[in-house]
Amino acid sequence: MYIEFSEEQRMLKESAEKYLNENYEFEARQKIVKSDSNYCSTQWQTFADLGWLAMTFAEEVGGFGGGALETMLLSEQLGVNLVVEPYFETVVFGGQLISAGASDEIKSRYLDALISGHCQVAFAWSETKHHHAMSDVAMAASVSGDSILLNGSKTVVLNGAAADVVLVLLRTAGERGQSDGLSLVLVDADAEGCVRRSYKTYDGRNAAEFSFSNVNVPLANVLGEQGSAMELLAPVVNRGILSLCAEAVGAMSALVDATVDYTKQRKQFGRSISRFQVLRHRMADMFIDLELCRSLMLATAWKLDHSDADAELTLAALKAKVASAGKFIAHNAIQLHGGIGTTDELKIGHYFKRIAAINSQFGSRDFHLARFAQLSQK
Amino acid sequence: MNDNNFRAEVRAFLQEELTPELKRAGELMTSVFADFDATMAWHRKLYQKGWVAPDWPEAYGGTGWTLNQRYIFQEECKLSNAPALLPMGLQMLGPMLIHYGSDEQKAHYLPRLLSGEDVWCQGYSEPGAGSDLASLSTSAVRDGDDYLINGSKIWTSYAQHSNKIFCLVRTSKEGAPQAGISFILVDMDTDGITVEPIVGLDGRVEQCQVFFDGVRVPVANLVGEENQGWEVAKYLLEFERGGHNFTIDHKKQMAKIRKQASEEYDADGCLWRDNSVFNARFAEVAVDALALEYTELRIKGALNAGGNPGALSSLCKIVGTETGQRFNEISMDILGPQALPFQIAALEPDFEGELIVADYALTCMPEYINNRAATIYGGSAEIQRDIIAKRVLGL
Repeated sequence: MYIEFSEEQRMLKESAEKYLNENYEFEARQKIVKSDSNYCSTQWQTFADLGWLAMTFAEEVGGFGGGALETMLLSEQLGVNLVVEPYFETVVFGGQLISAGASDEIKSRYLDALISGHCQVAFAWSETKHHHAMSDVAMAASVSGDSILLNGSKTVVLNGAAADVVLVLLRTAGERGQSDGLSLVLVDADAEGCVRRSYKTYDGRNAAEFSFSNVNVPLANVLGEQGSAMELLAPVVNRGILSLCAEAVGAMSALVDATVDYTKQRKQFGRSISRFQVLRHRMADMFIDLELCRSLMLATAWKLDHSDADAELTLAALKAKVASAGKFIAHNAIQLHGGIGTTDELKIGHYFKRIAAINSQFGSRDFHLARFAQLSQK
Repeated sequence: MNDNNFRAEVRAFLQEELTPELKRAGELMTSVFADFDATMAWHRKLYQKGWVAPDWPEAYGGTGWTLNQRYIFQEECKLSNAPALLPMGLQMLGPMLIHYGSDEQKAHYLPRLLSGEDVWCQGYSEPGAGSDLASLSTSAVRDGDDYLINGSKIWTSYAQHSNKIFCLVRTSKEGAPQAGISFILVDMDTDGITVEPIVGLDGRVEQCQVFFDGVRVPVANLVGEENQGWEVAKYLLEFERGGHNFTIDHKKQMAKIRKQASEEYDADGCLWRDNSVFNARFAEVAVDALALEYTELRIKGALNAGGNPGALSSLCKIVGTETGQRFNEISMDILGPQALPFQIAALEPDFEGELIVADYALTCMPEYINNRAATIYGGSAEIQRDIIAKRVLGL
């Protein structure tokens, strides 16, 4: 395994870095977060114009054929700039699911719009009283003829407030706890009987509670095989976890940089607090954890792109390490900033909240350590 | 030759030349050093084959292998339990002489080092100069064509087996402490040198203190200019820190833990490998080992592309040694009282008596004990963190 970025990949990284550093400063970001809108549509349109939304789709559907490595590069920069626009929800997750599982007709209806910046997607799978096991989904739908009838509710649907379409994970067979029998259904967010209660999340993004009462959807809206949603989901979840971890790595690197800068400027006891060895060593440890995460992130992206046998093992290691390193770095960034680090005014705490949100999705540290242990014994 | 063919060639050689006695010496390693006689026997075999110094330039006796091939060679040697060669000559002094030595010095010392005729030890630390190496006080005073050396060096690994020592000595007290240090080569059988062994916590002798009492050394033995020893030493320290590949060591440790966990039982009478607390704890350390493995690959990639590992080698030293220590702790906890029998004779490769405990338990405690030194030697973990703070973070 040796990762060397291509010219295109280097350009993607540089263009994302340049555009966001110039146009997505912290103040601008806070304006979006504090506004009534779910995200900034002008920014989103620019992301589309820059080709970022198209980047990871196949050329047949209007994309540039990018893979895990491109997803990683872009996600990392979105993490550095704390971007709240729903790239993860709409492109990495929703878009890849549609692309992998939808009929040509649905693809042309939704993917074209998505790539040009005119369609927002949410993945609705969470139900109350369970964590990250998708097999725990209980909401059932009945299939009759060529239509499917939805009744039930979904909680904390990320990007749910902004979504034009919702991909609902539900049961067409089997029982709660079983992986088989799950189906993924594309539902228009304003379909009759579909009600949502929108809100914002602590990390400045949008979400909604969804309830479905007698929502009637054509059977053609089932993505992938009916009853085999997990097959369709597995590679997308893997890519999604990589994307979130890359975002966390971007956030961590911004925190290390900001903390180093701050401790150089902040004077106490007549000198810069960066002169104190206890703080210097703390920052060295933050740097070490950041670089260890980066190594796992690069390896995971490479392995996912090459369908390497160890890809899932490395991914589990990455998510587990990002969980502990993310906390260590964020907690210490706040600690070293002192009181000011605990305020809404400084960006430090907002990185902390985003890292906490990432740690709350798709499996905790314990979950991924257990998975890593299980995969290592194979 | 592609890497797979190369690996096959290395394996064939190891199969042929690595005798059971030599393998046993490798298995019984409880620190970075193996039994001395076995080490030198293996050194001579590799010398015969032309493989004793793969990291050296070909013109001086290196193999001309690619970085990948060198890595494969190292990996295969370790995984087949070859005894580790002594690093003081091959890894430290050799590259330094090639860089700073005079033509005469290179012609005289390098062949003797390669063949194993000379065994070198490293005279850096002193009782009063450890992490603050530049404060060293062993003095070399000019007297005609000689220097007269007085003082002492400590933590001198395998000085009891060495016939040569390379030393940092103080030749001036003017200016900054770093500015008055010189690098000099000394014969261990010169009058005035005495070697005192230091017994380690495992009951054996790896380290020594070396005393210099009016030791007369020709000025020609100076490497580089007088008072430029600090530069030479810094160059050498890079080799001491960056050259090590921790991943292979970690893989060996993990294999050992897996074996222990599949044979030993926890308090509930279940095999340790089925104990979820153990599995979570082992996984946590193994995740860090994996992260380090990919960091080492990143460094290898940078080196291949002609770059410099920079301070990432400090990161590797910290994470590599600390992760190794955490694996030691896990082994200790699995074995419980079985780690306690003190059967020092059984750690010799030629021991023929009866073992008190299983083979993997025999080495567990000495490995645990000896590995405490890993975060101290070669620049302590604290010094490495200082290096990261200063050179990487610009603090």
